[in-house]
Amino acid sequence: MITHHFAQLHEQGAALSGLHAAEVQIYDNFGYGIGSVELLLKLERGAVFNAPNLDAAASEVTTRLIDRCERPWGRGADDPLLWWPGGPLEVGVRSSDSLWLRLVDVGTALAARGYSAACDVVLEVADPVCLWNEGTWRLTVAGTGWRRACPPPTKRARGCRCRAWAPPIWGRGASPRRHTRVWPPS
Amino acid sequence: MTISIVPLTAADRQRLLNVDLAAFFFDPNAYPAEVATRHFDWASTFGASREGTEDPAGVCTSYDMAVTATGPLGSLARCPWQGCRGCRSTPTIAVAACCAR
Repeated sequence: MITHHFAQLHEQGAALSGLHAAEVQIYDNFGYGIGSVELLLKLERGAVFNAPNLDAAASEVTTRLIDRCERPWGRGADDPLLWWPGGPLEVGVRSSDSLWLRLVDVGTALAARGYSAACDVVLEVADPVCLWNEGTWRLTVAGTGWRRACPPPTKRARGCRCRAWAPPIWGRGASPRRHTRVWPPS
Repeated sequence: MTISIVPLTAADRQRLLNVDLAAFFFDPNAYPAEVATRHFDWASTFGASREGTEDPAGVCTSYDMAVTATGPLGSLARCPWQGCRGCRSTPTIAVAACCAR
């Protein structure tokens, strides 16, 4: 059903597929990788929050929350709420995988995002599940931000191998099986 | 064993939930079937059935969640993205799927 799902998405022009994995052992096998990690914070009653630059905003609040139990879960690793009580050492932190990503269409996904620097590389894609991705792709990013991803006409692949593509390209790259190598085109 | 994948419609919502229940053991009376499935995109919902049977042994549904991402030179770009709500299956068909890989 997963391969059928990917085929449907490819026909529809989707570049990515994302999910929250109920069983991580399944989706890793289909090319999904961890795109983001979320934190569950445990804050004791009476915890003091020190939120710089928010004093002015707080002074304008005219209502107060009197008594309520909060479970701040699903926070990103860069969420300022982690630091307001004093940082990870001051709060109970539990992390877990959050969004899993899978590139459905390599060409579309590579061309859709931005890059911080110009580059010209050839990527070798081994994708036994989404066969339309298999082969070599030349990613060209100009200094103007213009970018293009397309199969190179004749070049032999020299570039990149990656089991779970989406995390390093679209997420935080937390996939435990990530393996990426990139060379410039010959 | 031959498995066929067929589109599911709103008329199949109870059969779909039966598969979901077999996988995750939630309270079947917590919500009416219409409520539990009202956000489904039926055009992206499919069931897998073993040959000779009508009830799906596995189901899969997803929904459109195109995202805004960073584009070139600090711009923003919309990227087509599909969120998979999940694939559910009975143990029998899960084994078949694993063996088929």
